[in-house]
Amino acid sequence: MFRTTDVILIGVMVAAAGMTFKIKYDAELKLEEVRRLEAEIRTERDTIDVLTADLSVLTQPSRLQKLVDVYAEELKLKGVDPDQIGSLSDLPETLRQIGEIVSARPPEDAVTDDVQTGAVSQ
Amino acid sequence: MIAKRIRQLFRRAKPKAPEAGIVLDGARTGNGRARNRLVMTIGVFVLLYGAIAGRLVYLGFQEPADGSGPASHNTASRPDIIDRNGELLATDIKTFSLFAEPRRIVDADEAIEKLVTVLPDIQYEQTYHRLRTDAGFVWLRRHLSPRQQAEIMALGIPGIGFRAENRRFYPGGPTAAHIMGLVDIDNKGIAGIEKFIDSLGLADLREIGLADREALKPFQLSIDIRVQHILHDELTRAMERFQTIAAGGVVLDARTGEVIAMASLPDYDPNNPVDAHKKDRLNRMSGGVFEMGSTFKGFTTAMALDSGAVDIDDNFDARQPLRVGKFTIKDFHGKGRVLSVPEIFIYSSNIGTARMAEQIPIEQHQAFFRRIGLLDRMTTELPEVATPTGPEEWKRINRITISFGHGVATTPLQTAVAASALVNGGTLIEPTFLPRTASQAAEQAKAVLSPKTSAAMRYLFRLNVEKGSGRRADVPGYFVGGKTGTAEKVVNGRYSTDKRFNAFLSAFPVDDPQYVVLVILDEPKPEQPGMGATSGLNTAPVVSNVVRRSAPLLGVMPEFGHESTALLASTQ
Repeated sequence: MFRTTDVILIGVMVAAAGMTFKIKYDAELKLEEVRRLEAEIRTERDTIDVLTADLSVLTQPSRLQKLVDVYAEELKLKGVDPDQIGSLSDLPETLRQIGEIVSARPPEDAVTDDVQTGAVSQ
Repeated sequence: MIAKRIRQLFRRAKPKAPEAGIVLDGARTGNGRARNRLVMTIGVFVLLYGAIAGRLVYLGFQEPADGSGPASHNTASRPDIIDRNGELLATDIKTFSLFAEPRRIVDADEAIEKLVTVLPDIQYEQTYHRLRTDAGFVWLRRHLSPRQQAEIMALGIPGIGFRAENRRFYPGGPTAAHIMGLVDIDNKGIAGIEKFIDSLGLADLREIGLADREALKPFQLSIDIRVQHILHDELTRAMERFQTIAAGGVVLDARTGEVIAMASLPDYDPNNPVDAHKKDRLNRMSGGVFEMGSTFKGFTTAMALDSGAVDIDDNFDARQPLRVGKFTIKDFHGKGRVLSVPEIFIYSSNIGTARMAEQIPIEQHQAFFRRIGLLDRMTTELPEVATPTGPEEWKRINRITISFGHGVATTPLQTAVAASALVNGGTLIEPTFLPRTASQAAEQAKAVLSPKTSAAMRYLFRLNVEKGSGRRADVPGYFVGGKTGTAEKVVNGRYSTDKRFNAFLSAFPVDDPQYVVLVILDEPKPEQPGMGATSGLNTAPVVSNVVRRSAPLLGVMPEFGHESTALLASTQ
């Protein structure tokens, strides 16, 4: 009843229809994925904005000053005086060499600072 | 009608029934009652499914119910504002407000139980009652973070939704309130730099829908938030310590005209600007005018020296009070002797300054003050700028009082700008709140004084801190130079003796000034009864603190071992 060519053509047609359906289905899936990712990016962007604002609040000089006032005694914090600021060239030659002597010393002789801060534990 | 048709079908089917594969019991027995029962059953089912199909078609044509809740309030995006080091001063954050539509809530208990997993502090009973009401819409929580919003969304509760809102947020709170200004509920700038940004064309961009958050570059200011905080902090302390009604200060880059910090107290929190429009919250530094008092003697002295009519070694008689018509000009700390120009300056002699001014024609005096920008409205980015007030035509008495800072009211900011011209080599540079390089500043700088006069002024400013009224402003290593000003305030048309407006105008390091600092205190009281409340006692220490704390941050290296005689020699 059917000729071979008919069978082949029907086969091709069915296959084409199947392919089309699959491609369309896949495309929809991808589109959904794209939408999901876009929403995610948006959320992340907004989160980044909030976190930057958060960081800025946490590092506000006024907040840091309050913290310094609270922990000044415990951490032995003092304000810097102008005469404590200087450049290396202000030091006499012999003093500058002391730096090299100290760094040449074996590490076990190094003095450990026993003041502990929140970030550094020794 | 359908039932009839079915009956017809059955009638037709009847003769065939015995041959048919499927034999209906009712048809075979020929029992009419059974057949009727069957027809009825079928009818009921057809009706039922018909109703469902009809309903489906009806729903299919129905427009989906509106997204519900109030219409989304679309607030515009604004660029971030950052300081000169890139620290955030203002930003937009997207917040979400959670609402519920009680009519659509299927199970209030379940909804709340799920919400509690994300919002643990939600009030169970209150929320329950709100969800059981018949209201179409209730707010459950305002200003949720994006993270919370995503989590609640993931719970999949029917009947709740979100409204996104852009909210302007100032991490520093009141620290730089007057510079930042304000935005209204639609995120439009209505004051300060926020208004300036809108005037640059942001409003137009927004109209055509191009003001996308990602497309907006951060807007950089010349402010340094650390110095701004120091100034704000010191002024707050001074207000408490001296019980003033107001305080203000500005730190200005003497070479570029950039405003590094500017504060005016009392201020407001731009995040919650409930009292931003109260009368006493105005920006005194640029939007208020004051008689600046003795700080003006610096300008008069500079004018006298620059004209060539007065030499720094000249002497003026300050023994007798000066009588002009019915007015008598006296000295506050009268020395009762002949004073040299530096002595007039450091003892802040009104008589001496007036006599010095009288060496110059009045027109020239007025022209000089106009040239250094003390008499006209200054132009800068902030919209809140006041116009100085003073007499239209200067008579002898006017020029004499103006020579020591009474009779002309000007904004503190433009006084600081004029002062930077006195010390930076004689060039007047308009103040700016935006970053400006030295070369950009040089392009628009106007020479108003000779470099020689400027050097003499630096010497006088320093001398006043070493030996004069500004001793308490000194910071070892930073070479502060400055001039005090204690002006009597006008109360009911008369100069009051107990209400003062104090100012301290300074520059550091004064041998090569990089920054100009001006601090004002309005009506300071004596710290302890019996003590004075002159500028040297209250504004000078504030300036000292500001310089000591901010100079290392501004990268000014302290220097020791300077001799002020060397400074003197350099002016000769």
